[in-house]
Amino acid sequence: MGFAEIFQQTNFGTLDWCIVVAYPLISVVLGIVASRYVADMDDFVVAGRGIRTALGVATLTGTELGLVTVMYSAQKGFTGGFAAFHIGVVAGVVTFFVGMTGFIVAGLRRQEVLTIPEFYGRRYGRKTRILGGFVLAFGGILNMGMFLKAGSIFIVGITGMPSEGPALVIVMLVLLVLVLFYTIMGGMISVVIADYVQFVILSFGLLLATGLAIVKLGWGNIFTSMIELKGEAGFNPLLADSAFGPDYVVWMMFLGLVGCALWPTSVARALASKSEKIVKRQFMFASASYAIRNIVPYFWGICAFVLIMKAPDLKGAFFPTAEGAEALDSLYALPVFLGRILPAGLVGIITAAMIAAFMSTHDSYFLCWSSVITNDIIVPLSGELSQRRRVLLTRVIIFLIGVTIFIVSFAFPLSEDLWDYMAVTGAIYFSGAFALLVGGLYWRRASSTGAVMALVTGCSAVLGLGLVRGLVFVRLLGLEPAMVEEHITAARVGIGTILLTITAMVIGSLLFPDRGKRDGPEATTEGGALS
Amino acid sequence: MMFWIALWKGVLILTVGVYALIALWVTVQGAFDIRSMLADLRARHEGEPDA
Repeated sequence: MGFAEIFQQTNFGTLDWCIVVAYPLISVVLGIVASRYVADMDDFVVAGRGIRTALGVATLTGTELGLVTVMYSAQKGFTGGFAAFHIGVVAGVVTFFVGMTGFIVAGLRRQEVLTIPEFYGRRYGRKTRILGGFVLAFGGILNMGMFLKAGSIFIVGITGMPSEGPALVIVMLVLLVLVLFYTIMGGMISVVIADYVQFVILSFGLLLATGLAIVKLGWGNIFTSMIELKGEAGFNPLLADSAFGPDYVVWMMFLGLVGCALWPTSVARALASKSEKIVKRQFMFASASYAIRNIVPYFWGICAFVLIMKAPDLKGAFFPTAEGAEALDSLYALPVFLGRILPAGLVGIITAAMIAAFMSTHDSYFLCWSSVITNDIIVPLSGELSQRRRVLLTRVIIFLIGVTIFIVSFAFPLSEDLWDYMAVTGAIYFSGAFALLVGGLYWRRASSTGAVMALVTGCSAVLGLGLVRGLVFVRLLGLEPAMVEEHITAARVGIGTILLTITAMVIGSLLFPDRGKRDGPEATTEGGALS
Repeated sequence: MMFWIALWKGVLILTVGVYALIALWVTVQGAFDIRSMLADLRARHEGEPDA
């Protein structure tokens, strides 16, 4: 059976199309209404700092539970089984810890900055702010590069459109235009309202679809099938022959911290909160969301794996045995699974919820990267700009980022699981950011030279990408591909980069401490930690 | 292996249960928060000249 026949066996029908087309129009209307409330950059980027706890939880979840999250998590569940659950558990525990202690996020909120690089500017000086803004925007936009493709794969797979031909590109274009329109119109105000609507639809959709998956496949059957198909490796993430291993688990612990306390779109919510107290409460409540945003999609991926392995036509498509036969991308497993188990009507609601999830992630990411480019690269380089010009510039940059990610989606061949791609591209930014934020907030002797050294060292995280590893270690250094595959894993490169950035920060700060005046007008302290 | 199976079963049930409760609370309270946020923004810009 060909791929086209597999996609056509979806329950997605006319009613579902009506639901899917109607839903995004609501977001467009929201964008138009919200634009009336935007008067200055504070309104556009942090919604006038007026977000309360429940709305904060909704918008934090709305941003972080995007369609791309669902897709990469389902893929991890599909390839790693229940052992993938450790990633979600670790993320939830770490987020709760951040909420309890206010580690990093409360300190940043106290500074009343708009972006993380703005904090770099206050603490380390103008040059660090510009360099930090550049590294953040570069890593962030590269990280976002696969969002559009993953989202479109979901829609193509669940609706039954042919995977070959122009459908994927057309869906990508439609989604991009839609999300660009309402983000450019309303900024953070429309983002938080859209996130709330998305939270409501997606949350109840997730719970309903999970219940249906259990009813269709059988609670006991899901576990026994996994034991039969993967053995202990499907449950124990510490096993060397699982898809993970001990070093991967350590890497995930750090990524749990990154996801809530370092990742700019999460931090943007902390910066937009009404007070430090609300920041902490918001993160404690959202810790469950941080766990479930991974755990439920992992479970869907596991259910998809069980269904696919028991259906000969699907098994043949995803795991072909014939030599040279092309396997269907594992990212298609989730949409194919949902398209088969959900009834007509409900499949439309879930798809609409997923499109909402796609949009709410994109809007926040667009807003976040564009405000960093405007506030932390262009303004420090060009001098003061009026509020109106800043908003206009941010809107133009949002459009340009949209064009860039559309190009990256085509140009970059994905050679690893989507989650691992995201972790590595994110590490380009967050390895350095960890050293700069922790050093800046909690270590009086952290200096601007140490900060620059840490930022530059953090860029070495790019070596974790399969494509770059092959190029550097196999082609340039002449190492055996099998040896690189086994020993120089993305997790080890990631952990190594973090250790290197911390070392660079410590050595740079001790050897070259800041004395007296800084290199720019933003320096507000004399080498002391901001508190 | 029994430990891991029991652990992941518990984790799945617990997270789904907690999330259902949070979803209900956020749905109700979030609507009130939106109303307050928009009222705050309106009040803040009342009387201001156009930016």
